[in-house]
Amino acid sequence: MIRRFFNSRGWGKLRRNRLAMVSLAVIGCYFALAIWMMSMDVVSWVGKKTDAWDLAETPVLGAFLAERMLEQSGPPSVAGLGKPIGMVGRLDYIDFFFSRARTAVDEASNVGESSDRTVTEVLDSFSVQERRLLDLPLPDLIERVEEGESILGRLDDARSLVNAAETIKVQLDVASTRLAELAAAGEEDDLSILQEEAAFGVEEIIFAIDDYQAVAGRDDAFGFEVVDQLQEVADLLFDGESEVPELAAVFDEIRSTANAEALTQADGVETLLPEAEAFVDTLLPVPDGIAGLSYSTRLLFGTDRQGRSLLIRALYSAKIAIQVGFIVGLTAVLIGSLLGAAAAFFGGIVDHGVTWLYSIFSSFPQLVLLAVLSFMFVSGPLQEFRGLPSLYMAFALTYWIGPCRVIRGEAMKIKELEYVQAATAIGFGRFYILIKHIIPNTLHLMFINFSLLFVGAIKGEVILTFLGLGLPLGDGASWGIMISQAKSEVVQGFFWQIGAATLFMFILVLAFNILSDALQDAFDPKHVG
Amino acid sequence: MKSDDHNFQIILEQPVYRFLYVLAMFQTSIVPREAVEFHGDRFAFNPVGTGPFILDEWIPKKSLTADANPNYHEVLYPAEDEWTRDDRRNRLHRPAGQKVPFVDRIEFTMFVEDQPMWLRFQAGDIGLTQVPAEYFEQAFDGRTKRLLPEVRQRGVRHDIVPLLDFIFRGFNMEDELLGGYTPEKRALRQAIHLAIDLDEFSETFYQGNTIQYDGPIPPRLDGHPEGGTAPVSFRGPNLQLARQKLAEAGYPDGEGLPAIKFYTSRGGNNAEQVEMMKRQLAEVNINLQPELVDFSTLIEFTNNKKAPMFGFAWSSDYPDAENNLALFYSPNESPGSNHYNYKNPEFDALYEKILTMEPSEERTAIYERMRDMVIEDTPYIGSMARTRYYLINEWLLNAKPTERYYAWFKFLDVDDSKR
Amino acid sequence: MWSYVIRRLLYNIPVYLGIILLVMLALRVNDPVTAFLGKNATEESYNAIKESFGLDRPFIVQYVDRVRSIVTLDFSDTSWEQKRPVGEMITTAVPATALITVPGLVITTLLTVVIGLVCSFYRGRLLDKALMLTAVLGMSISFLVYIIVGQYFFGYQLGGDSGVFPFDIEGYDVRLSTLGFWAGSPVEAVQTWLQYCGLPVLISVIVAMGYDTRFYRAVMVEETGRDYITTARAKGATSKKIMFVHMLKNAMIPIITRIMISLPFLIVGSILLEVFFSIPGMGRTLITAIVAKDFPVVEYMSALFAAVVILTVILTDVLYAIFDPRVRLS
Repeated sequence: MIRRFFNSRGWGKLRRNRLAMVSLAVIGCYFALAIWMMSMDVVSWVGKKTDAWDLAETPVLGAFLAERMLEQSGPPSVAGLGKPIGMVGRLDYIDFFFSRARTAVDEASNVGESSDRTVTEVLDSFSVQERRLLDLPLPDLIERVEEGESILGRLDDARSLVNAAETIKVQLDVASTRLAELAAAGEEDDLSILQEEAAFGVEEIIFAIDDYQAVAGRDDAFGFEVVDQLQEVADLLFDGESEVPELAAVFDEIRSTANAEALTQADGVETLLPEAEAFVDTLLPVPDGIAGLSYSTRLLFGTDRQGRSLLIRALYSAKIAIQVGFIVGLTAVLIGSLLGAAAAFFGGIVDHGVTWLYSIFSSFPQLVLLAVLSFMFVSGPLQEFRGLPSLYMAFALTYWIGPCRVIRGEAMKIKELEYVQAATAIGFGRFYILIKHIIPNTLHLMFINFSLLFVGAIKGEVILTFLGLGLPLGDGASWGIMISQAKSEVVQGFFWQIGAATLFMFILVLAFNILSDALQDAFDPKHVG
Repeated sequence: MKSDDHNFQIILEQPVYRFLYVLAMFQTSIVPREAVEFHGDRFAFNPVGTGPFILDEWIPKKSLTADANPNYHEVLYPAEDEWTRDDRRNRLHRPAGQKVPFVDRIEFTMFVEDQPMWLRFQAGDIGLTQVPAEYFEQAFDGRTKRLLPEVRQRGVRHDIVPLLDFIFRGFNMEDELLGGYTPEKRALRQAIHLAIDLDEFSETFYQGNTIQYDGPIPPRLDGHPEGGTAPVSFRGPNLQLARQKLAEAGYPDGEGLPAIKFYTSRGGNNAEQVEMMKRQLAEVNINLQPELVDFSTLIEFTNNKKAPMFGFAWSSDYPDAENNLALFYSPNESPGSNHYNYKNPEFDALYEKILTMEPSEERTAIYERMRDMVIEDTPYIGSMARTRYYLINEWLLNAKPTERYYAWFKFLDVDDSKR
Repeated sequence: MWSYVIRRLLYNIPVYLGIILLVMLALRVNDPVTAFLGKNATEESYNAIKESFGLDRPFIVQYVDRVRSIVTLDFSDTSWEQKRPVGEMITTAVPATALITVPGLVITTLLTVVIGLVCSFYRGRLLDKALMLTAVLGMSISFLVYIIVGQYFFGYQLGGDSGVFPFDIEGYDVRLSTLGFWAGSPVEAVQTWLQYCGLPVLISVIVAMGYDTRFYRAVMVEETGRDYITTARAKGATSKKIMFVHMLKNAMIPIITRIMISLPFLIVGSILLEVFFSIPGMGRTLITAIVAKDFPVVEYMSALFAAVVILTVILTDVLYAIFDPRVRLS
C-alpha cells in the first residue's frame, strides 16, 4: 500500500512542486525539533528515575525540558538581543542586576557554620543563567554592590530632579496666567476667588521649588530671596490684596535657574547611565565562548514580563503545537474516515446513522462546538481531564466531521466503480474490499484532511486558550498562552512576545497551507476551494 | 426601636465600636420595606432610598445615570475648617457650607477594557479615572512615580489612594500537611513564607505600586507596623533561613515534601503570578502545584476546607484593624471569613476584648500583640496593599476619591468653562 | 419541484429533532441548577429555579415542550442570570451581530469576487501570484493577532495625539439596534456605527479575504477553462466583457452557495470579535451564558443556531435544485 502511494502519479506531481517540497522540509524541521524535545523529556525522566544524571543542568540538551520553562533568562521585558527599551527600561535593567547582586551578597553574608552551603554556592545560585557574580572575596563584592547601588540612586535622583525642574516651569506658567487673570479682572468677576487662585498658583511654585531642593539636598538651589519674594506675594493675595509687586522678573529668574538645573541633571543622567551599565557588565560579566553565546542566544527575541526567554518559549510551544496538531489530526481523520467509509460501504442503516450524526454535529458553528466542549472539560463536569487530554477530546469531537464527509463521498464513488462491483460479484468479502480497494484510494484524501486539520487544531488551540477554554495559562508554554500574555504588553508598545509566537506559528501554518494546497493540486485536482 | 416617624433608636446589647462604621456602610442605608418586598430580586434595578440622586438608567457593565433628588434632605458641604492644606490645594474647600448635590445629573461609564476608559479620559469626556497598570507610564514616571510635567500642564491633577488591602496566600490550618500549631508545622509555613519574594510580584504585576507589609493590618491603620516591618517577620526572600526552617520542619532541602496544591481563581494575570510563585518556591525545592479554578469553585473549596493553600484578598470594610483581625477569630471559621480556620484561644480572648474598646493607645497595643501572634503562627503569606492612582480632569471639581465610602459623589461639581 | 422541497424538509426534521435531543441530554448530564447555583445553595432557591424552568418534570415532557416552544418561536422563558426573557435577549443581540456580519459579508464578497476574477484572468502572471501569496500569508496569521494588533493600531495609535478616535475598541451604542435611530438621524447613526463596528468589520474582512479570494479564484479559474470563454475570445469580446458578463454569470452558482453557507454565520456572529470588542451580539451572549452556566439561554440559543443552520442547508439544497434540474430527480 505504501509503495503504491509513492509510485502514484500524484506523488510525482507533488515532488515536482518545489515550493511544496520546501514546505515539507520546513514541517520536517519542526517535527524534528518536537521529537528532539520529547526524547530529551524521556532521557531526563530516565535520568531522574535511575538517579544517574540530571538533564536539567545542561545548557543545550536540557534547554527545553518542561520544568525549565519557568526560569528566568534575563531581566524582564527586554527587547530582542537583550536590549532594554527606553530610559526607564534601561534603569530597570540595571536595577534588576543590582537587586540580584544585593540579594546574593545578603544571603551570602548569612552563611555561618550551620548552613549547608558555602559562600560560593550561595553566590552561584543567584547567577542569571551564565552570568555569574564576579569572583571576589565577599567584602569586596559587597563594596562593589553598594557602589553600584549608589550610582543607581544618583540616577534616580537626577531624573526626579529633571521632573521637578520641569514641574517648576509648569507652575510658573500656571501662576502667570492666574496673575494675569487677576490683573484683568472686571466688575462682574469674583475678586476673592481670583485672588485665591493666584495665591495658590504662586504657592505651588514654592512647593515645587521646595520639592526640588529637598531631593537635591541643597536648600538654596533657587536662592532664599526668590522664595521669600514669592511667599510675600502669596501671603498678600491670601489676605485679599489685589495689588501685588510685579513678579515677572522673579519668574524669569526662576525659569532660567530651572532650565539650567534641568540641563545639568539631564547631562548627569546621560553620563551616569552608561557608567552604570558598564558597572553591571563588570559585576556580572557575560562570559566568553559557548556560555556567553548560549546566554545571548536565549535573549534573541527578548524576554517576557517575568524575564523568561521568548525564543525558548516560542520553540517549546512548537512542540505543543505539533503534539496537538498531530494527535488531533490523526484521531479526527481516523475516526472520520472509518465512519465515513463504513457509512458508504455498508450503506443502509449505518449510512443513515452516520449521516444523521454528522448532520447534528455540523449544525453547530465550529467555534461554538469547540467552546462548549472545552468548557465542559475545563470547568464543567469533566474537570479532572483538564489540560491537553481535554483539548484533544474537544477537537476530535468537532473535527471528525470533515474527513467523514469527504471519505464517505469518495467511498461511495469507488463503490460504484466497475472493478469493485466485479470484486463483490466474484465473492470477495466486504472487509477485504474495504481494505484492498476503498482505503488505498481514499488515502490521499486522508492526507489532505490531516494537513488541513493539523492547521485547524493549532489555530484552534490558540483561540481557545485565549478565551480561557484551552490550556491552563499557568502551566508551560504554548502559542496561545504567549499571545494571551502578550495582550497587555502590546498596549505598552512591547511587541516581542506576540511577534515571536506569531512568527514561529506563522512559518509552520504557512508551510502546512502550502503543503495542503500542493496535496490538493496533486491528488485531487478537481477540487474547488 | 421607633422614636417617631423620622427617628429610630438602636440599642446594642454591648458596646461594639465598629457599629458606627457599619452604619456608614452602604449595606445599612435606609430603604422602604414596601419597595424591597415589591421588587424582590430586582430591587437593585429599582432602588428606592434616601440618597442625593435618583437612578435614571442602569445598563449592567455599561453605564449608570442618575438625576439629582429634589427631595434630598439638607446635607451641607463640609465647613472650611475641615479641609486640610492639601485639600485646599485641590480646591476642595470652595463650596463650604453649601447644600449638596451641586450637579443635576451624574453619569458613570463602566468599561470592560482599560483602553477606551483611558482614551475617553484623555479626550476629556470623563472627569475621573483610575490609572490602569498598562498606562501608568503614560502619566507617571515609571521609576520615580512622579506625575509627568506634560500631564500637569494640561491641568490634570492626580490623587493617590492607598487601599486598605490585605492581599495574601492563605494556609488551611486544618490541613494535614500544612496546618497545625507545633513548631515543626509552623516552621514549614514559615519556610514557604520566607521563600516568597513579594517585592518581585509587586514590580512585575503591579508596577511597583503596592506596599508590602507584615501582619494583616493594612497601612495607615492603628496596629500597622512601623515601616511595614514587624518585630518578628518572615518576609522573604531569605532562602538561607527558608532552608533552615524546612530542615526544622523535617524536610531537609525539600526532601519528602509532597507537592503543595495551591488554589486560585482563573482571572486576570493570576496564571502568571502562580508561575512566579512556583519558580520562587522551586529555589528551595518546594514543589507548588497550582490549581486555577473559577471563582465559585475557589469559594466552594475554601468553604469546605478542601484547599490546603489558596490565594485571596480582603478589603477592609471600614478603617479599623478589627475588621481584618476578625478574619482570625475562630467562630468565623469556614464557611465564614476565617478561611484559614485559625483557632487560637488567646487570640480569641483578645479579640472579644477589643470589640468593645474605642481607639486608644491601649487598644493599639493589643492590636499589635494580636498581629504578632498571627505573624508567628503564619496562617498566610502576606501582605500586600495596592495603591490606586487616580487622574482628575480640570473640569471636575470637588473630587476626592476614596474606595471605602462612595458618598463622595454627592460633592462633585463641574466647571463647564474648562471642558 | 415542490416535492423536492418537501422531501428535504421531511428529511431534515428527524435531524433537527435529534439535535434538540442531543443538546438537551448533553446539558443535563450535570444538574444544571446545581451548576448555576453552586453546591451551597439553599433548598428553596434550588427548587424555585428548578420549577421555574420546568426541570422537575420528566424529560420527555420537557423535550416535547421545548420542541413546541421552538417551533412556535416562543422564547418567553427567562434567563437565570439576567432575569429577562430569552427572546428579548435574542432580539437585542441579533441586530448587534448583524451590524457587523452583514456589512462584513457584503464587503468581503464584493472585494474577493473581483479579486478572484482579476487573479483568474491574469492567471500565472505576477499580479496573480502576488495576490495569492498575500492571501496565503494572511491566512497563516492567527485571527487573534489581527484583533490585538488591530486594536492597538487603529483604536489607539490612530487616535493618540490628535484626540480624535475613529475607532472604538469596546462597546456598542444600543441605539444602533433600533430602526428609529437609523431613520431619524442617519448621519449620526452611520458615524456611531463606524465608531463601534468599523474596526470589527475591518478585521473580519481582512481575515476572510485570504480564504475567500482563493476560493473565488479557483472557481473563476475553472470557468476560464470552459469552451464558451474560448468562443467569446474568438469572437473578439473584450476581456472586461468576458470577465464581468460571461464568467460572473456562470460562476454565480458557487458564489451563491458560498454565501448561503455563510448565512448561519450572519446570525451566530463572530464570537471572537464580539468578545474582544464587547459587542453584545449573539456570540457574546452565548459565551457569557456558557460561562455563567445560564441554562435556559444556552439551551435556547443552541437550538436556535442549529435551526438556522438546518434551514440554510435546506435553502441551499433548494437553490441547487432550482439551478440544476438533475438534483431534483435524485
